[in-house]
Amino acid sequence: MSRAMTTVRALALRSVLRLALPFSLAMVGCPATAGVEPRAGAEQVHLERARPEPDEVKTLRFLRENRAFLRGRLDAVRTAWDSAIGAPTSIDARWIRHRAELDAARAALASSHRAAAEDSLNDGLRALAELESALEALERTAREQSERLTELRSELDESRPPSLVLLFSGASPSSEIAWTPEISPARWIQLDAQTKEALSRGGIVEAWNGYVEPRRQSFELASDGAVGYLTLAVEPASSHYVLVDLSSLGSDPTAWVVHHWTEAR
Amino acid sequence: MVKRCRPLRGEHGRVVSVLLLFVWAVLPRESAATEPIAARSALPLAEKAARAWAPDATLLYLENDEALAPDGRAERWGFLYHSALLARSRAYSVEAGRIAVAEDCDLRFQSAPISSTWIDSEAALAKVRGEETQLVEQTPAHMLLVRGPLDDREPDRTSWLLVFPQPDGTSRFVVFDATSGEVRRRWNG
Repeated sequence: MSRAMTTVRALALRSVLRLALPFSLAMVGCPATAGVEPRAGAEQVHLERARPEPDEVKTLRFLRENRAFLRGRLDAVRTAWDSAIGAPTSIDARWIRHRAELDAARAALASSHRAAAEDSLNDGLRALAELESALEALERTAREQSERLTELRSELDESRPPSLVLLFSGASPSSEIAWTPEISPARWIQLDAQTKEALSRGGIVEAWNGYVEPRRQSFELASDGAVGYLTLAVEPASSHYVLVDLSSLGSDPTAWVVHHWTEAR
Repeated sequence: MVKRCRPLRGEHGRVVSVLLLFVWAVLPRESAATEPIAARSALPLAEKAARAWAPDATLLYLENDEALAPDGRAERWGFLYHSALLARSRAYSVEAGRIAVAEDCDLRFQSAPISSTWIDSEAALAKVRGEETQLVEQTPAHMLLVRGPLDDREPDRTSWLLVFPQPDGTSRFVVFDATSGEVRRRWNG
């Protein structure tokens, strides 16, 4: 009996192992519910519970102290301009004569154009040669404009503000995340069932992207009533990426897992 | 019995002190002051910030936010932008390579946008001194650039206003056309 029990136990154990092995492999192969690995070189940033206070630095002091004087000067200029608008007067008769002379000149020009159109074949060949010269000049101009366009594009890239892209990964416990940059209104990001499914399978969602000011600033991230502040030093010539692991979101914003990296433009 | 550490004395103590002093002397220190810059040098960063804030932001006004150096440069310049789309104004204070202040502004100062071509602060001060020789040795307390309220005859001109404090407590005001490079008005007040 005991030998039979041992055999049964061994068989049962082997069966369990046979089932457990593929299941564990499946678990290994299954995407984790935690966030994806951030890009190499990314730094983990920590959120604060309160927005950092800005430095007490004053700007535009002369304007603030002399605002009344400058606005008074602006009002005086506007008043002077308005009073310069006079009442309407009758049209000078010379203008009417000039108009008639202009119409007569146009008519004479039109008739001379008709005469020119009846020229011989030599005139036509001369015109063709001139056209070829004009085409060469246009090609030259097109090349110059192309170079100018390249120059303008380069200048545009330099003057373009830095951008920031907000990415989500990981299974989210909530369906709505709020993201508020300093210069924009709050953006409520809804996570529908399809998005949540994609996130739970290891996908990444681009939640927000926009231009940001090139300075140190704070962004507010809120989930289920918990609010955290992410402070970043935004470089003028870079694109910035922020990856939030939604599976880390809880009641303590200082424990949220957020990574940040930049790419030069 | 507790073994106590003996303080360094004699030759060893002197050597260590000299080494510590040497290390302290060569360590780089963070400088509190930044390099003075001309107004135009601060402009690109302010423009970038303003474009991020509002696509239609236009520059209405600028002034020195820190004391001017004798050559017309300053450590920090303030810029005032207005957006018709947002119906708001925003101020930026820029020092060398960094935006020190960015804040919404409720000043309600709406002059015409500053012209895109204007003479920089250094050149403006040099030209003013060229015409006002009594100001050669003086440094203005304020330099501000604005379009409209400074010249009655040509209100559409973008102009610098330079304010030179005088020993008697008054100030010498000079309006300088930032496009043509001419002194347009002078008065004491």
